[in-house]
Amino acid sequence: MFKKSILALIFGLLSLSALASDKLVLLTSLDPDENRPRFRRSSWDINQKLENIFYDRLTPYHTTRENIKIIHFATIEDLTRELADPENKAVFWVSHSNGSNANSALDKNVVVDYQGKDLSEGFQNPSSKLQYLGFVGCFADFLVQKNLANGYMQNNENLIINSSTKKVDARRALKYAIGNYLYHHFEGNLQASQKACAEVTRHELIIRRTIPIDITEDQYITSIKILQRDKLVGLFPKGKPGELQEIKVKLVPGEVKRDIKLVFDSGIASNQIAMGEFEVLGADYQVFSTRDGRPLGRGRYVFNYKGSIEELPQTIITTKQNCIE
Amino acid sequence: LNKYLGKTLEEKMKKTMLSLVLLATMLMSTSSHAIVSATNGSRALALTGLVMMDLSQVVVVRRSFGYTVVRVITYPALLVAGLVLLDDEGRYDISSEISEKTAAKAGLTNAEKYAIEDNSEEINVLFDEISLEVEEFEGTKEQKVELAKTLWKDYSANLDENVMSGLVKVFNIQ
Repeated sequence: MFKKSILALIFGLLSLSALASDKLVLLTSLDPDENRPRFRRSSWDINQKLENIFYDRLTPYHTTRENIKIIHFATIEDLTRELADPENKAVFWVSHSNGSNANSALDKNVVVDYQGKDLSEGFQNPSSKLQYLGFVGCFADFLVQKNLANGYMQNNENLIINSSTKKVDARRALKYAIGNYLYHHFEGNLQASQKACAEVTRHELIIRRTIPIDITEDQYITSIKILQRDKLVGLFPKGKPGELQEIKVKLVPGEVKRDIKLVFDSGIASNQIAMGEFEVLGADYQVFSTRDGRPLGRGRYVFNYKGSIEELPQTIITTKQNCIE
Repeated sequence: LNKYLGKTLEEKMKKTMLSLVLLATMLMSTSSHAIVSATNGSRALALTGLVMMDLSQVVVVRRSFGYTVVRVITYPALLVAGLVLLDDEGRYDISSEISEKTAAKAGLTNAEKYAIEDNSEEINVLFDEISLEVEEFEGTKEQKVELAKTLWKDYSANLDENVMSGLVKVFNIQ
């Protein structure tokens, strides 16, 4: 009896560990009220339709419902967390996006969440364990190509990404992405990175955000991206009124001050965003403002480094973000 | 009977009206999760102000063709047409990288090209700021463009002077 219990326990643990690194995740960020085809009832919900497609195509033959994770109204916090989670084998993202490779004066590579906030930088750092990314959005492939050209999305040299250079229909494109994933799965093309993580040097800094206590009804507290020259180096979570947040970021060393400029960005130009106040601890950063000292920006601020490069904290040796061995 | 029919018609009318009111309420009360942001139209007007900053070019056009408005109005119209492709959502930015081809086409000096690239974050913050101020301003399109022009001049005073001259050249490429 005792032996049987032990065997069952070991078997159970082995099964769990086998499933643990095989999670399939669907993230959707669409407002159902704004994404309902004409002449449909108000109960018609795009998110429910996408969820049904995901379950129908992947269970019960390929995986179990327990091995699937679905998040609707996904934010950049959900996206970065799921892309970084070493237990996830494949992530499918569905939202509005736009992209272009034209050498235009306007950068049209945007991916928006259900509230219209740009979260394109959220795709920069999938973990080295992620094997498949289904990026369902219009012209999404242009953003993927831009990221790859800028050295992002490269923690796993075997990562397979499915995205389109055209306008796409959410349901049809998700079905296609799932089919594409299954094809690669059965062909044995999906695998985690086989490479050792490269060492990099970084400056470690702590940044503080103080969210105002008085938030009006039409104001939104949202997560705030911390960008160093378009590179996502940190993310303040959404938070609550009056909350004091502190996060550690790792900056890429720069030769000149502009290389370590920081942008605090909600992803949307709006008066409704309660950004809060920001302070970079132990480093002389100042917000870009008018001559009379009013910070410039609605939904994003620029912070310029005013000290000398030598005054920054000593660099540390670490591995690339989300590179897991 | 006529009285009865009349009453029925009246009732039907009432019911129809009530249904219409209810339907309208339902449509209006459909809650949207979107945050109100600067519209693409306002962003195009903000850029138009930028285009108009180079007054010398406007004068040249007036002297050559006898009208000023064509150049100033045609360009934003093209911009707006381009923005329709943006899948009607999202904040688009002024690009942080100027290709060699664009730089050559616009006649940018090296100093202007690097000034734009080095200050791209500040430029886009100004772009947000001006777009929203233009949106909030109640006036004609021409007045809004005039406001945008003034704001670009005011707010860019803290930036390298090559930034604005470079931007005006880039957005004046035909």
